[in-house]
Amino acid sequence: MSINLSKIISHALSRGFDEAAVAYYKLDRVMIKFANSQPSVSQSWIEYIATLYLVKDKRIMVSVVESVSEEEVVKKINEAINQVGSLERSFIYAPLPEPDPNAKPLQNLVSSKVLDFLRDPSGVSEIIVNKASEERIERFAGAIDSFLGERCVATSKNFEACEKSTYFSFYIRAFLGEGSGHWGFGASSYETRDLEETVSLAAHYAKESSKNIKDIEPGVYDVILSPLVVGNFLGYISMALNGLNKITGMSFFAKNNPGDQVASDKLTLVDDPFRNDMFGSAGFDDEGISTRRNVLIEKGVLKTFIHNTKTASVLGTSSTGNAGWITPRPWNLVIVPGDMDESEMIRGVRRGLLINNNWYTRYQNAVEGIFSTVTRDALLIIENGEIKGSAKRMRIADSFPRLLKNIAGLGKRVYKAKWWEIRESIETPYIYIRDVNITKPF
Amino acid sequence: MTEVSLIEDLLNLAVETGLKLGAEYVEARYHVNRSFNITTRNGLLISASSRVSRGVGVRVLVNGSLGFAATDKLDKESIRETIEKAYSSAKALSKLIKVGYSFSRERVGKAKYSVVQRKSFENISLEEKLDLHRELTKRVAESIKETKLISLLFNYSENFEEKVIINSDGAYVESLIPRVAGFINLAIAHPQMGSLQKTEFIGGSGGYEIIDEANILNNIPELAATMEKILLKGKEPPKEPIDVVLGSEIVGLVMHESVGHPLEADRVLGREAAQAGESYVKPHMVGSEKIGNIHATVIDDPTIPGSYGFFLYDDEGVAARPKYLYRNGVINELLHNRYTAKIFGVRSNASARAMDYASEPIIRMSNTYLEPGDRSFEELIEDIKHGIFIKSYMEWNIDDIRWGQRYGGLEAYEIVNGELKEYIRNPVVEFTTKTFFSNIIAKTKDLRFYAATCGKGEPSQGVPVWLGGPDVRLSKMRLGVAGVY
Repeated sequence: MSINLSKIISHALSRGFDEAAVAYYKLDRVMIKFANSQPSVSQSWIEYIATLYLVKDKRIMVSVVESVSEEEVVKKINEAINQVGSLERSFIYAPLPEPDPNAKPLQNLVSSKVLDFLRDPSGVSEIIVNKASEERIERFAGAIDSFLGERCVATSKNFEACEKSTYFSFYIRAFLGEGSGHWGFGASSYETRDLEETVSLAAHYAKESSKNIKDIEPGVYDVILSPLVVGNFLGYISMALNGLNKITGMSFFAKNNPGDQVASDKLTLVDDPFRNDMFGSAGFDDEGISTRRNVLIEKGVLKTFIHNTKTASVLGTSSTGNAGWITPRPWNLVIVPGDMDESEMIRGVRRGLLINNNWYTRYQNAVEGIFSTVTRDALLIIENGEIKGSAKRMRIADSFPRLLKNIAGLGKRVYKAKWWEIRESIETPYIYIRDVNITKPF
Repeated sequence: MTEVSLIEDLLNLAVETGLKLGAEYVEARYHVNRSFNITTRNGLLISASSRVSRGVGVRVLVNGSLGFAATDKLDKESIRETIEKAYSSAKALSKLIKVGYSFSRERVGKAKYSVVQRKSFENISLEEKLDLHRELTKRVAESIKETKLISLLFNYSENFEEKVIINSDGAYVESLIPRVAGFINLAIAHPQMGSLQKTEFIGGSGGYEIIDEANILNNIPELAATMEKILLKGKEPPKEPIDVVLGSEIVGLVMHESVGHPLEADRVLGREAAQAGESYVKPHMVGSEKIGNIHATVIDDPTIPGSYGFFLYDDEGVAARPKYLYRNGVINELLHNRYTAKIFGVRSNASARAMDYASEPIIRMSNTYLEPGDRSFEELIEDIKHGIFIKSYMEWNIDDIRWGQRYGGLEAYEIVNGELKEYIRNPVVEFTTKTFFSNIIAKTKDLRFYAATCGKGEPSQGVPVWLGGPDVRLSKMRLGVAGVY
């Protein structure tokens, strides 16, 4: 580390702050974008970012400094002490927690394969280009994104720890005729077979969606959501499970409390920070509390919101080890798999759609969870248990509470889906949902 | 030495180092964003935060392969390492390039410009800024009687964007743009009638005058009162096809989503295919394909003073100008950077923008709007026997080729015999781009702009833009209803 965290904390306290915390990140990141079956740009970053949490008399300031030097950070603290008196006391204020003896960095989160990729990304890029040319698609686009990150946290309660981890994701969109297919994964490392399978699954959907294209009518359909779609929805569901959104009322679970049945009993959703194979893992949060495996929804029953000490204190509960100083955040969102083969799932649908991918999920009403999202890539028509063709660009226009309650089955295989429209680290199977409202433009 | 000349030295070092390594083109951009944000809920502070993002982003072309790298360490060694990284990565990947990149030849700028704040936000005390949040909450709460304010989230932000751009073609552009924005999310509820939610986004380049002129202390409480009436009195949208009048807020969004984005030449060429998607526009359509009628003239203009999407030179050093994307219904001109301009055999129209030092410049909109018409609002609706005026929206989305789109209305009125009558709740219009532009009957003469943050790219970049237009009357169409079926 090129800056001394405890020195920064001491400086903040000496200038008159009651509490201080600092999170410091170093990121060595490489991204290769592909378009028209070749690299379109390589992007590399080396970044140092410090975030500061400063409190005086329950008045909170948060600052972010890129281009970090101790001098810059000290300057920021000196500015902040002059501003903080004008602020009000934050209604979510709670003191930083006492040091947690269990809050320790996790080991084995760094993959040597990722380090090799960061040094020279051309080998992996070549595997992808070659695999795509074997698949007999017309063209592809996509991106590999990868980094080695180091995260250090120090607080004025004498907590200090650092953790290193790696991240690797690859997603691809394959085109064939009028069809396209999409797949992507994101984890803490990769194997060549992950890259190849990702290409193959995208190519599979491109081929399926280029055959027998039909118009279908809007209406109510049973749907099978691919892990890409579920992954996108998990972003919205986890926001609704966020303690701060519960407090501010901007959650479709705002009226719910732990113990309420909020989904079908087939759904169990866990936030698991200890998965070495996933990229969101961490041993401690930004308040220096040890992370823990939290079951968020168990067999459809809401078990807990995710909290830092502030949101927990407003709601009279304990932190779940998910700080974010202001906004809690999940680590790795994991949906517990079901017992269905993907082919069995299709066989069970009388009139429905298999949705490969979606984007542009927007709320009509976040409080009630009413939203719509646009399908893209393969949208396969299922009639009497068989795929009978493909449709184009319809919308799901429904509500998350209803979708969650209508879950009728989960696949037995899970995928770590990741792409442009999935921000979180997630793992999920295909999910079968009954009676979903589908619309299309006039 | 001054800071600017130190920065200039670093950028020149980057360009020289890249050329020495053998790059065909080198560009170096010093880019600083300093921002300050206050977020309150119901007038109570959630947090105050500040952010400084400061660094250098470089691009190189090596054997037709494009490399970008960025660093926030501003010393000579880090700058050298950064350019070497961009170079070596681009070179290593050049073996996979079948069709190499090159840039159009342009007259690049040597210029320095800045935007002046009429009322400097730095001279407004934090207390005064927070008072506005408190007063707004008080007035909103007073404006509603039978419903409850669930949440009034107000994010105020002020920002300085400072850039110095140098490239191996001789560009030198220095700019300083201050911006102010206010993002408001208002949600009200009634125990039996459910809830309604609306976001408002105010923004421009300049100073605190942007907040003053937005008059939020009157407009937002009025909006809350209207939302209450919609919630309590709004009736179901008509089921039969009717005349539709869309307010300028929706029209501006349609321009951005269904004209601006699909006319980005990089999308047309498939460069964003796996992210933001492709386009209904194919290269051969430019200059000939008719999408709409004579009312469909759509302009993107970064040079509008005070606009949120304001700039005079793009991040490739090319001078900005208004672009006529559609002219009288025909696809007229795409948004270009130097890469796409070369492929299309035209000149760049200065559409390359990067969000910050760590972002690659890509093709972006600025201020995109539908050319206004000649009617007053009364004239626009006077001969409508039965119709709907959808003034504002809550939700929207559009497919990945920018053809099929849906807008969920918030404030909407039934029109009966040329007059606005009862509130309509949750009307939805879902149409294709061609349906919209072929069915414009008339437009008002007012041109209103709305601020937004436009997202595109990988990693995703949000840049400030304005969306604008007049109120527009469309021929008959069938409405949908939002919500659960």
